[in-house]
Amino acid sequence: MKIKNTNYIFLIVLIVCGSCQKLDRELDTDLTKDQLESTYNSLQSLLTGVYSTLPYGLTQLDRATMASATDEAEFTNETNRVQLLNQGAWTAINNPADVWGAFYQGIRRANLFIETADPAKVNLDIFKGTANYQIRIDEIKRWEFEVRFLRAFYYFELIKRYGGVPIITKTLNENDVASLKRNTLEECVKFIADECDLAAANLPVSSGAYATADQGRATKAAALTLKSRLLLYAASDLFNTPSWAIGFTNTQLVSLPAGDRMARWKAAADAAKAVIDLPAVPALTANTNYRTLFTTPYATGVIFARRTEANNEFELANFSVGFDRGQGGITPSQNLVDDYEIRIGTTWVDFDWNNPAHSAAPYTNRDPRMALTVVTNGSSFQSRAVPIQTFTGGLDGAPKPNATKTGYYLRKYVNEATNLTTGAGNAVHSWIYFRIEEVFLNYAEALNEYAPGNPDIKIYYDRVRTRAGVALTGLNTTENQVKVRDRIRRERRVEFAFEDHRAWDARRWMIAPTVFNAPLRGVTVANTMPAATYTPFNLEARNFTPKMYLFPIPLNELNIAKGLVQNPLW
Amino acid sequence: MKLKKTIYYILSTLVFVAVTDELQAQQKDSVATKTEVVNFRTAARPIGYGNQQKSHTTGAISSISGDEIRDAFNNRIGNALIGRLPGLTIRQNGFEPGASSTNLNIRGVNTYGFSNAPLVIVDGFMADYDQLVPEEIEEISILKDASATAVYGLRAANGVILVTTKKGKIQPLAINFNAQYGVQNPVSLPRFLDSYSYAFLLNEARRNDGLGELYTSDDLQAFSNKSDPINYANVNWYDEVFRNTAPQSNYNLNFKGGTSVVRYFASLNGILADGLYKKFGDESEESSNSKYSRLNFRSNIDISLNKNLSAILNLGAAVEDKRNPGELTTNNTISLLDRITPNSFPVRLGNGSFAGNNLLSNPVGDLLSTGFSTSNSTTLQASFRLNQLLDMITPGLKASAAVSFNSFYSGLSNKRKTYTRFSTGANATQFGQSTSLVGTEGVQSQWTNNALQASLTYSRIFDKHDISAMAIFNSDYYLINKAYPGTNAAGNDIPYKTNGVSSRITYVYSDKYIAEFSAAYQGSNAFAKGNRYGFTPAGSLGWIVSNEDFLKGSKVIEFLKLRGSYGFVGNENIGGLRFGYAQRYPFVDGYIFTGTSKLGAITEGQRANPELTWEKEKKANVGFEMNFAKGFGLIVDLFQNNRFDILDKPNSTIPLIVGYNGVPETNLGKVKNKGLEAMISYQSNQSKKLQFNFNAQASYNKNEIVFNDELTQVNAARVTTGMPVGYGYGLEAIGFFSGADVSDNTIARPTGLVIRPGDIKYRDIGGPLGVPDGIIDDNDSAPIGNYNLPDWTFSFQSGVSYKGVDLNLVFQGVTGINLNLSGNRYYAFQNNGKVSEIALKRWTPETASTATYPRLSSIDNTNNFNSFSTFWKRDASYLKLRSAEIGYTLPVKTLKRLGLQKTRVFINGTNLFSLDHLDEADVEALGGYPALRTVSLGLNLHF
Repeated sequence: MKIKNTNYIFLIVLIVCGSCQKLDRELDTDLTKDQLESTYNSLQSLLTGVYSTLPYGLTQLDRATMASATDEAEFTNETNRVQLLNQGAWTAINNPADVWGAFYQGIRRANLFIETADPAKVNLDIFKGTANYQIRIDEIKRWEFEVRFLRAFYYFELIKRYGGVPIITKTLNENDVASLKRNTLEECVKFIADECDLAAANLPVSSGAYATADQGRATKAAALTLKSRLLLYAASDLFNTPSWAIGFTNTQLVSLPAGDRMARWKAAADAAKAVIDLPAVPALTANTNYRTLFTTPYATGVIFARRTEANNEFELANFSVGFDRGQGGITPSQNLVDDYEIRIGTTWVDFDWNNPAHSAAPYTNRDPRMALTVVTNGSSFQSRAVPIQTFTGGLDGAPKPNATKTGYYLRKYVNEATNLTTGAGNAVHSWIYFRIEEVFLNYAEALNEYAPGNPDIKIYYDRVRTRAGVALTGLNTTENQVKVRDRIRRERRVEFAFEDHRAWDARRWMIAPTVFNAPLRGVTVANTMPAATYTPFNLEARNFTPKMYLFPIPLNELNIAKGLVQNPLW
Repeated sequence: MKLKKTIYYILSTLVFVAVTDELQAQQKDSVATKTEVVNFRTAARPIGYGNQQKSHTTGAISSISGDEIRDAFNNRIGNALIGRLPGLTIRQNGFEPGASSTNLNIRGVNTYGFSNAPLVIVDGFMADYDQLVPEEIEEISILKDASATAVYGLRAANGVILVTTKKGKIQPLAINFNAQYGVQNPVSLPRFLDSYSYAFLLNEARRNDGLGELYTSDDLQAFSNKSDPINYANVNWYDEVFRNTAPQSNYNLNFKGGTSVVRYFASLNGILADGLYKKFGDESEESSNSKYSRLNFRSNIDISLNKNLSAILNLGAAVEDKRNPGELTTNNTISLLDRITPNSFPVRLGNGSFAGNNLLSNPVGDLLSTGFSTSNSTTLQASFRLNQLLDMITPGLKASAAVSFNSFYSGLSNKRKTYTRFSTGANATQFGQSTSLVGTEGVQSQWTNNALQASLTYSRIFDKHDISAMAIFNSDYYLINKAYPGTNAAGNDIPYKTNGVSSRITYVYSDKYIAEFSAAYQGSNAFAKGNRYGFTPAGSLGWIVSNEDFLKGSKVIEFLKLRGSYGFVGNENIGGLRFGYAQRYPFVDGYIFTGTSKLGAITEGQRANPELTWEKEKKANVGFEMNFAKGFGLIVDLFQNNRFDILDKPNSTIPLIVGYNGVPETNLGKVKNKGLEAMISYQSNQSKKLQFNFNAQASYNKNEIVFNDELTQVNAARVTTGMPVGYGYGLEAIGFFSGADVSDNTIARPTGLVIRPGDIKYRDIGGPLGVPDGIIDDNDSAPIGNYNLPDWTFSFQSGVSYKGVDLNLVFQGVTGINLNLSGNRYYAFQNNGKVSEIALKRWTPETASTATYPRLSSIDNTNNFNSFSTFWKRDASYLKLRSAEIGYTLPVKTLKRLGLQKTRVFINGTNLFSLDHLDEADVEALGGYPALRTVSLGLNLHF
């Protein structure tokens, strides 16, 4: 009996010990840092991770874009957070468009890549002895310069919003926080410009120089265009006029030091010219189809863009409510529509509501880019037999829920071929960061500032204006510098509407307190016979004060990293 | 391995003690019969990994039998527990049959971390309790303090719910049959206004907004005389979709009995409940009626293999089916119903096709013409246990080994299609397209949970010394193959595993003085090596004062025990990134360089925290239990819980600029929670013809965040440290703007909005510089009320019986809780929505002095309708009659011939009425599926 009892005890002990499971993690689907360094594919994915921080502009702000925070458009949904920007109700705690954390995350990714990528550590044994071996090595070397370009891009996105920011070129940890300080704006500009030069020297000239599979990668043209935009911003009023920052002592953070403005404009012009002087390839030729430019990925003239899978997100958000599932989100303003010129006879003049000839048929004989940017009452959309009706009771107008308030819908970037009901016709979208027309206008703008009357101003202004598909009249060289400046600014406004330029151009020209403070306007459409009649009206009061020239740094950042200084007036 | 050594040590010690002990002693009877009233002197109760004589319990434990909660006629057992156990707070999450689940909290809120959910143990193993039915439950206990919970180690901090299922007994076969059939109907429905009122008020709203009227007087006339139901529709969409009543029934058959060799309890239960949807399945083959059913099976068998060895096999299973037209749950349909205006469009156009518009689909069309969804779930709970008496080694020693297998599978089978709708008017736009039914099958959720236990228990009385000891090894493995959609559980096929040993030693001297020590040493695979194991000790003391000489003969105080406990327990369910102790480089959303295919991308994952560990809590509890004055019972407990190491983001130490893809989650937070529970009960003499009993209980909890690494607040009133978890912060409404106020620029208002007379005015308490700035924004919000769990919950149960007639009532209530009205039911015209009765008391210049609702606004008005403010705050206190039952037991004589022992018929009402402060809705169902009231008839046969 005794033995039997002992058996029970043994049995229990055996069960217990036999069942003592290991508590280590069983499956591991993620990589460790060693694996990253040594594998070609992993390193390539790490690079892709740096690219994936690039902002996709079409759905930037919860289906809205910065366009709805400017005089370009209204956003129909009243509770979308973009409205805070228009109401002036944004703060250092609550900024719907804040990107501080997002871009510093991108910068960390870039720094991590630069610290990790080393051709010597990558196991390329399987390529040894083949031609691919050297190709791979060169590729890994090139990746670093793609990353340097991207990092410079992220820094530029930061300085255009925040002024001088801390330049971080290695991966930090929490112990480094105490020593962080904002670099001066001048240091930031120099850093970004140098990085662009370094990247440009080591990257293929344009997307055509890449194999097809690598089309969307950073190029020399992209790096030089970034530099052109950077130096244009650096030469412009905002970064050279610290007087707006009343009572702010750290002016070096929001402004370049007083110095030779002309030299800055010249640097900007030279940087643009450097792009223009690259060998002529499709990417560096003006696009003559203002419609397909925005619906075809990497169309002629596009220097750098981000594309999506075939989808209809943008169409769902912005199709007129007269179409099944359309949400009528971004609706262009009358302010923008008024800025497209009108042709009377053979001359192009400014549109004027007080001119009965203009106001009777406001959408006839307009700058052709208008109809390709804005959907107006009576225009056709998709293949619907009934034209667009934005008047009250019309198919696309009130009282339908979410009907446009401005009287317009958006056409630019919208893929009309999409059928939202069936899901057929979804297309790849491509958000353009740089296209050659910008370089032309950058060049003309900078040149007009330090060398008014230079014949290149007309040449490159006209390359945008008179190109096939737009075909407006060229620059009248008898006009003075101020008039030409206005023309170039107007050209930028209409050419780049809804391409995320206006919010920043209006700031750097320091016209934002005027144009972003003016009421946003719409048009009332009356369905009269024989023709509809149009009356503009003030739709919404807007609020822009000088502090909004720059974004506030998120308050919590200042509280932790005590070395950081808040921007003026916030 | 360290753990193995510990187990060897514990086991060998116990064996050694047992073998060397030669004293003879009698084994205690650990099972005593349960009586209706709490009798602390004799009854035994389940405690963690065992049973204990009630009079010797020094932990804070409350319990209730399954039979006592049967009267809350409900298809979820969690809801039936409302108001039954002091210290247990229950929130019902919706009333839809089969979809409703319950949130249980033991002693309120103890952490702001991931989970306040208690550990649930069914028959000794971690399991789900939700699908069980009262008829198969012997007892449900909640373990509240450290002493009672410490044996559950790293899972104990949120409290433990112990469910014990019924077992067989040595007795002749007893057959029970219960049937209950009733109807459910909504307690209240939203009260939306019709098309005429909608149009009339919308015109007013548009005038208020400075816009032209949308509807002409002809339009209004047409809405009013209802002459053109197509173009001037007036649809009560609720009536089109819902019916007023739906049946619910329950049938149970169970057998109980046994001999000295085999004891058994077997039960079969069926629940059937229809949803409130109309019978769309009867109208269209492509739709379905709304149905819910569940079958529960249980077979608990206890076999004596020989004199010393017995085996227990428990099998419980549930098969649940749910079917609805359209989507599986009603959520989306109801939010559509809440939004769609009565004049949007008619149900059908003149030609019979469905109407619709660009924004909203047609609710009736959605239910008739988009197919149907079904889900089928099976739960299996099986455990096998061997008990070996080792009296031959030493009397009182017992060894036990057990395994359990629990599994859950929930599958979806949907047959769905889309359909065409048309706008009204000329040039009708087509919305949607008609397709034919397409079937999809899938897994909704799947998990398995296996555990293994081996234990030694020892229990013996030597003279005045009563010693019990228990040591148990527990190892479990919980694999979620697929987590329920909407839950936070990670279902990535990596199991949750723990190993541990637990032990308890209880010493009672002279049946007066009790000392108990319990502890667990337990490890979880959630943490890094080195941080994996934790030790959770707890000690408690008790004094049975009534056994002292000075009280022994007392006629008033029959039993009195004072007790206190203190201990340290953990909560491993801390949330956050799993395995967050190791730095990972996961794949993230890729990038498309060309074509349409994404190239995979890798980045540094969330920053690792190698020090990651479990939440810890120090629990202190004092209490007493007494029986007095022939039939009264009283229990009072006071407690304080100090939780720390709550997982939090180090917001105040790591800025965004470092660029982490997620800051390292760190064990930072601290929460303090204290409160009390009291219960008084009475049971009249059971030998009398007229019997009376009652049970009144109350519990109170108040918690406070002691530390919480929050983002910096300009506004000191927004600091959450020092405030209760989940407290509400918002603006303080101080009336409406009058015409004069609007032009008075000294009155604070939001920027960027046009303020008009009748808008809500708020108090300006702060600004970016910390002082009032004339602008109403986030800087002006302050703590405005508790919206989380009620401070007080109380309940009162009372029963009377005379001869064969019995009556039982259960009232339950809460106070110290608020709710916030929001959404289309309350916010007129917002989000293109409709308008309900609440808006009739709107502000107009004429009614300015009596208005209780802001001026109407046709556009989204964030000042009036989107602010979390005191304006929309309501007191959510209530007192509800949870159940009422009148029964009649037929005289025994008449039944004997039929072979019946006992027959009872009854009428039952559940959720019959509510006293509360809310006119617009039921306090427990502000939105979503309506709260239900059930009235039913039942029959109970006992053979």
